[in-house]
Amino acid sequence: MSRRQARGTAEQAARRGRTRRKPVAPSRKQPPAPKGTRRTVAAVDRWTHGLRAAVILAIIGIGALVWQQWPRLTLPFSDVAPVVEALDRDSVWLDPDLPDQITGGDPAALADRIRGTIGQRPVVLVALAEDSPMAEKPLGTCTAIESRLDDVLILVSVPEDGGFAAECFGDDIGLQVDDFGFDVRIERELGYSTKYLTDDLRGQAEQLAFTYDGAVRRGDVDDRVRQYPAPARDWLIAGGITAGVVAAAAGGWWGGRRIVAAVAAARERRRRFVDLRDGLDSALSEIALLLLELGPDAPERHRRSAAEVVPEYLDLVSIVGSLRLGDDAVVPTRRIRELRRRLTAAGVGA
Amino acid sequence: MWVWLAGGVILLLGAGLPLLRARPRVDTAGRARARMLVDRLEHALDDPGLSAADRQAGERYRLLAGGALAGAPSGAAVRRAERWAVTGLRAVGAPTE
Repeated sequence: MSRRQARGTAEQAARRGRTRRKPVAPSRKQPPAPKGTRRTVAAVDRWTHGLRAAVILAIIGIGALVWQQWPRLTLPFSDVAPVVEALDRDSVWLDPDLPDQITGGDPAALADRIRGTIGQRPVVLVALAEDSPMAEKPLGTCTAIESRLDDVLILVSVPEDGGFAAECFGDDIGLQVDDFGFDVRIERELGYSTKYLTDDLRGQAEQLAFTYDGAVRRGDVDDRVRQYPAPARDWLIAGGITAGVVAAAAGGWWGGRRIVAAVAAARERRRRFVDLRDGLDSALSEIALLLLELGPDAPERHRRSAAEVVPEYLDLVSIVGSLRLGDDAVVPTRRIRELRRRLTAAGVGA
Repeated sequence: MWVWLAGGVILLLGAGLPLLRARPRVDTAGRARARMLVDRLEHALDDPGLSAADRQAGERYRLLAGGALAGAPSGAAVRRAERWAVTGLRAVGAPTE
């Protein structure tokens, strides 16, 4: 059969009204949720949008914090980690490998004297042993420390290799003049003043303190007192607590949304059940009224029909009265309808 | 400590706020319509020319409709009241529209 013939046949069949329609598969779409649930879910969705915005803001904030604290976060992977960790709470770091002729055999006593010399000034002294890897590039070491200690003036000394090796300072030292000029001047001053103090770390610390005081008197830097930051471990704990609180808040919102939706669904199921049971009660009430209205002067046929349905009616009253949420109400509904139909067929309440 | 507790309470309240605020919407229009139908049925029952059987049927459905509307009726109860009132109006031969 050609295609045209086939189409003609189909058209003829359609004209005769005998075309077969393709059977429609039952829709899988769920029936729309009742209004109460929809409104609750919509309200919850609005809260979820707020939560999403809060999470995005939290991520941005954490990202900014990470960016700002990056040198601190990478500290454990740096050569200068022990130096910075010590200088977080101190103003001097003496390399443990410094020879006795430099430390006088008692590094702790020397460090105490240097601390006393520096006092509360925002300056630190780092003394490196000649064979230390950090001593290979003193300025690099100095800037590596400076990137993690923003508010200090740092002097790096290698006593066995000519003493003063490098100086550098952080962004937050309170500089009031051009930083390049200040850098050059401080370097020259420290270079001249420590020229003959190569082995004398305490003398270098004094010159560092005097140089800083001179800069303060000239007004090159603000007169400040050393502020000691919290150690990295505290930062990590604080960051962990912050992340935990954010995660708990997000989890709380998520869980809260689920709980609210579940409670709303349970309330909706309960409401539907109550409506169904009330409907059955109402239908039984109609039957009860029909039976009660049959007085002594009612036709014999009606009274006989009523007497026949009373046991069924009482049984249904008992069933509907004991219905619980989740029970199948199809059978009682069908039986009530059938009872009403029997009464109508008998002429009662027709 | 108290700050954490207060924060937790605020979070819980915030999460539960939609639930606390969600109230079933009262179908005032439907309820008014059902009451109007019941009123119309009562008015029809005032007709002295009604037969006894029709009056009995009308009274029956007025009672059922009134019972459905009692208290704070749900949407389903309001619709049921409407159906009973319409049945009563038909029983007494009164217009339902």
